[in-house]
Amino acid sequence: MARYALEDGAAPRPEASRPARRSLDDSTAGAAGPAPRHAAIPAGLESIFVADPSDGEDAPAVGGPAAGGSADPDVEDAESAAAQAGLSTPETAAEAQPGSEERKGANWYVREAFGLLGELLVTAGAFLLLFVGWELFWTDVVADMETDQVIAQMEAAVAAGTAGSDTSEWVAVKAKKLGDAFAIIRIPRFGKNYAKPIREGTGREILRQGVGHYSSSQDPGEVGNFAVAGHRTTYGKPFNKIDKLQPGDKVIIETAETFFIYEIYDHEIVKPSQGEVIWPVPGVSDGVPTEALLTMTSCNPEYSSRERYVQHGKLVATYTNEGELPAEVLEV
Amino acid sequence: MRLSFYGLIWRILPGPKPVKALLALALLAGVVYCLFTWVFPWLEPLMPFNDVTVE
Repeated sequence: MARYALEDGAAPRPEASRPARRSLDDSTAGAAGPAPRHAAIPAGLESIFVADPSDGEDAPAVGGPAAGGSADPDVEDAESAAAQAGLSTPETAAEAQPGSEERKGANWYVREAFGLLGELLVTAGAFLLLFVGWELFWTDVVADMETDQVIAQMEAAVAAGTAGSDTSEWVAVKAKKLGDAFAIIRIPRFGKNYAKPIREGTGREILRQGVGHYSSSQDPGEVGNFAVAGHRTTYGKPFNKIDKLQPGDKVIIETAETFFIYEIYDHEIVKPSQGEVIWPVPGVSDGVPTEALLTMTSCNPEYSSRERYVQHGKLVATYTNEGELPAEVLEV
Repeated sequence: MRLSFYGLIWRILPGPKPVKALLALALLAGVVYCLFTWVFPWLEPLMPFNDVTVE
C-alpha cells in the first residue's frame, strides 16, 4: 500500500472534486492493467465496504459480478483500488488520502465490527461444543469413576463382614440418611458386571452419583413400592437401557443383609407429573398394598425430559447376603 | 490497531512467541477448567433434557 502513498504524493491531483479516486485510478491502471479483479472482497460485498453516499452514482456499476462486462473499466478499476485501499491498515489509508480520512474511518469501524462479531461467534460455538462434550462425555467419565469406587468399597465391606455396621461405607437400610449408599442394584440384562449404588433421595446431586431411592417410597423388600430413579443419559447413565428390560428380567437389589430378586412384569411411558407410578399400589390412590413391588423411572425419550420411562417389577425371591448370589439368578 | 480481543490477549501476553503460545494454552486450560467445574454444572439444570424423576 506504500505504492499509493508515493504516487499520491508525487502526482498532482487532476480533479479537485475527487482527488483520492483519481490518484487511485492512475496507480492501479499503471501497475496492474485494465481489469484487475481483486480477490480480497467478493464483488457483491464491495458496496458494503466501499460504498459512499456521495459516490452513489458509481456504486451500482460494481454492485454484482454481472456488472463487470458492461461497466466502464475505469470506474470499476477505481472501485477495486478503493476497496483494496480500504483493506489496508487505517493509518496507511489516512496517510495516503488525507481528504478521505472520514470515509475510511467509517469503513474501518464496519470491518472491525464484523471481525469482532466473528470472534464472538467462534467463541460461542466453542462454548456450545464444550458444553455438549462435557455433558455427554465428561459427566460419564466422572460418574463412572465415582460409582465404580463406591461399588468396590461396598463389595469389600461385604467380604470383610462389616457391611451395614456403623463404620462401614455400606449403610444399613434402617440407618440410611439422605445421600447414603445403602444398596447395590444389579441388572443382568444390562451386563454381567452391571452394578450401581443406590443412594437415599432423588435430588440432583444424588442422581449424579448413581441411582436414587424415592424417600417417600418403601424400602427394599417391603410390601408396597420400592421406587428408584436413574439417569438415562449422562452421569454414568445407569438406566440407559431401561427400555431393553423385558417382562421376566431380574433386577437384584442387594442390601447389606439381603438379596432381593425382583422380576419385571410391565412398563409404561408417562408424563413427568404422573407421580402415581411410585405409589405403594401404582396408580391407585390410597391403595392398600399386598405385594412388594419395584419401580424404576428414567427419562424418555433419550436426551429429553418430555416423558418418563417406567418399569415395574415384583419381588420373587430373597436370599441372605453372604457375598455370593446363586448363579442362576444372574442368567439373563 | 485492530478491534480483536484475542489479538489483545496475544499482545498482553509477555515474552517471545513460544512463551506466548504456552501461556495462551495455559489460559485456555484454565478457562475450560472453570467451565467444567462451575459453569456447566450450574447451566445444566436449566436445560430441559436431564430430569428422570416423577413428581
